[in-house]
Amino acid sequence: MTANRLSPQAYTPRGWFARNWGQIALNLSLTLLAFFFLVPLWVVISASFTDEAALTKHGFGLWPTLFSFSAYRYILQNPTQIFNAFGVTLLVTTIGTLASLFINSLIAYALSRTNFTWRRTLSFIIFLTMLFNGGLVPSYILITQYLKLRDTFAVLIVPSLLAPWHIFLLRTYFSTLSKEFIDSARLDGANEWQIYLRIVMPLSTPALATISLFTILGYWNDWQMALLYINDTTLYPLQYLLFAVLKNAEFLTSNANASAMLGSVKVPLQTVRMAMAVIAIAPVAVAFVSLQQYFVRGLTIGGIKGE
Amino acid sequence: MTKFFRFLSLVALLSLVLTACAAPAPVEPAAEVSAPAAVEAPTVSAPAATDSPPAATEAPLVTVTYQYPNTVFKDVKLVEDALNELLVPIANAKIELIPFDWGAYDEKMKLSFAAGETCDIVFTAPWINNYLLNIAGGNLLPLDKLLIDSAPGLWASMPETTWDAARVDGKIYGVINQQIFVKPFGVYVRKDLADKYGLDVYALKSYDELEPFILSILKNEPDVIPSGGAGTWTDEGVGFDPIVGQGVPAVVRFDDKDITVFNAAASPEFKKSIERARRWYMAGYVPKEQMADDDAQNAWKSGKFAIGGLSGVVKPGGEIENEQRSGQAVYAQSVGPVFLTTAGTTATTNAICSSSKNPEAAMRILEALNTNVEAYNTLAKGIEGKHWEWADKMNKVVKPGPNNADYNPNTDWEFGNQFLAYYIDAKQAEIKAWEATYKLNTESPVSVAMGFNFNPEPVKTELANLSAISVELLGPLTAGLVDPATALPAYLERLEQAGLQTLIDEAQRQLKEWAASR
Repeated sequence: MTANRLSPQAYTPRGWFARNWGQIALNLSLTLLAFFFLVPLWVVISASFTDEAALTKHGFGLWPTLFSFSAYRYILQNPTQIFNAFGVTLLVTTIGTLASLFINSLIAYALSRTNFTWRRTLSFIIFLTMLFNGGLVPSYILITQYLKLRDTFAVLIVPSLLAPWHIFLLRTYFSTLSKEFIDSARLDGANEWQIYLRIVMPLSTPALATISLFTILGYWNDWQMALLYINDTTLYPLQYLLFAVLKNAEFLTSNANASAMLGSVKVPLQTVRMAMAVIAIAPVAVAFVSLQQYFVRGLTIGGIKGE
Repeated sequence: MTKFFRFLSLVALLSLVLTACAAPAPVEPAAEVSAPAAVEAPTVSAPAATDSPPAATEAPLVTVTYQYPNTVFKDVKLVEDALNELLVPIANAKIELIPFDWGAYDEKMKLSFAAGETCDIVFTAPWINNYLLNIAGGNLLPLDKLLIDSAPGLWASMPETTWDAARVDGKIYGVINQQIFVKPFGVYVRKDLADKYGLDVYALKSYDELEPFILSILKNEPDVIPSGGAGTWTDEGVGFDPIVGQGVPAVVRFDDKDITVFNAAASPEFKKSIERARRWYMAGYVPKEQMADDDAQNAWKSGKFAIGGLSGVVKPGGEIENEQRSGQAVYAQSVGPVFLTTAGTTATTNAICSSSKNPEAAMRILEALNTNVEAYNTLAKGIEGKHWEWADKMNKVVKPGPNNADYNPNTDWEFGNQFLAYYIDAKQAEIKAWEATYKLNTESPVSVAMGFNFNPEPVKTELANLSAISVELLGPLTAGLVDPATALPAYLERLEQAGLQTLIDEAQRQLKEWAASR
């Protein structure tokens, strides 16, 4: 048997394929899938570096037909504003994600504890908000007239702090953790805060990483809050600024009256759109790559401790 | 391991549920908002900043807000201050400028109205912050009496027929900004070539009369393509008033006293236009390949075409504008009838909110913006020496100032009477483009449906389907890219299936009702 396994035959390509065909097929199909996801992204990047006229003439391609920075130059014409917006978004995303993670996990942890009397009631209340919400107009009235959050930094964060589905995700994950951890921690003299911070949180890294990625994406990509509640240009988040610049440019070119006045000013519309997408995607892509490590680490932690 | 995967699958599942739930969310509120639920509760906080202390002055100085779509420029506050210096003595009121980004204006106004916030002056039009929906929602104040009492100059600046366009159920809800109301569609022909081959552009009565000229270009000018395009179709160009909106072929003839609504696509005029387009396309009068707008512009600039846009708007000063933009000296002539329509006239209006606490002051400000040259131009162009400078003060021609980028709305037509605007080109001033446009506006015949505003509510689905079909099929048909013999019946059948007859019947009913009420 041993000799057989070590026989050189097993190391011929044929044998190797025979034993690993499953892996190979999986890898191939996943590579193909990744390719399908990456190509459109690459086309966007390539288009953002293409000359506007060349783009309308030749269409989109994998490589710029005529290389040009004009789209980026157009966006960066007013760099103070774009950097300011970048700062706003960065701050909103950081503070928002940390605060949201903290609050959501606290509620979720309480809900996961079987000895919490009101857990069913509280769960139901939270669940209810997933099914029904007040609608746009009442929330607008609440935010502008009662909370007076219009044109404040807080309005970009507060309305989306609490996410019911994140709470339930975390609750489900927390309740899969062995109760013995909590009991033994208590025996060792830990109080509730210590159990939550020192035991439950570290054990839940994969769940927290996943949730925080969702939250980061949510805050980073949010422009609706700014559209509705922000009118002060210094509080524009990046996504909204890009949206506004684009809309204003689109308007000026599509409107006959306005474009007649514009004279020779040409707005590279299509390429600008692509360049904006690139600018907005880049940091999120970086965040994703760095968080991916946590996924992997979280995976091993779960494997060891969960058995 | 397994726990993690179980968790991940849960995440995946939930995110599916979540996206499924989240997707329709933005749509729903929009529909909700258009139904004006909260109109009856307009007296919630957010007072229109009244900066006057309850002093002993007989008429307290009030501040009126003006909400409008634009780029939010850095120097808005400076312009506001400069404007107020002018407004206080003539209107006894101050203005607070509240610009919103173009993409945000519609949404913000809908919410603001629905939430019962107060406002004073708002920009409203058929295409943004919808005028008719605002009236239906009770958001706007009827202005008839205010106009006569507080804005006599403005009231007198336009004939009664023009004001009629803004009437809904007999009342005026919007102050129409004067600009070009009519749509004189026609041709732009290169001056040198027209002179060379003896084409009298100003005598053109029909596109067919261009053919001899085209043939001589084809024969003698190998480097020139006779025409940039073959499409000559516009509703207005053949005297059809598109009463339900551009691109949907339910029209009424502008001089038809019986006000019969009919299918424009089934008319002999349409057939003639698309057959001509096809003939021109097949005969090589136009570029074989459809050109992108940019390329077509460049080709026109470099002299590749003898005839420019076949269905461009030929307005006073249009020849100059064209020469300035493309470097091509041209003759321009409108072909076909020129008449006033509701849509063309009400394209840009400012209105006063029904929640306004100071409607008289708001009207006095509108009076100033529509009659006072200095006030109007301060709002439209900014501050002298900063955002603009005189190029020729005698003829009221301006050029960009050193800080032009900090305030440069470029939307004269938004703020009031455009004919008060300083010219940005000396040649425009030379031919007195504004006076000529005013003359065109007032002397053109008026469509029989002038003042009729179609209510799309009962046939919303049909309307959406029909415009989608037209977007898909109308372009190729009118440009001559497809054979009318097969494509026209197909187009008509698609229209029929999408409920064009239902739409026509509804439009006819509303139009008859409107006519009877007058």
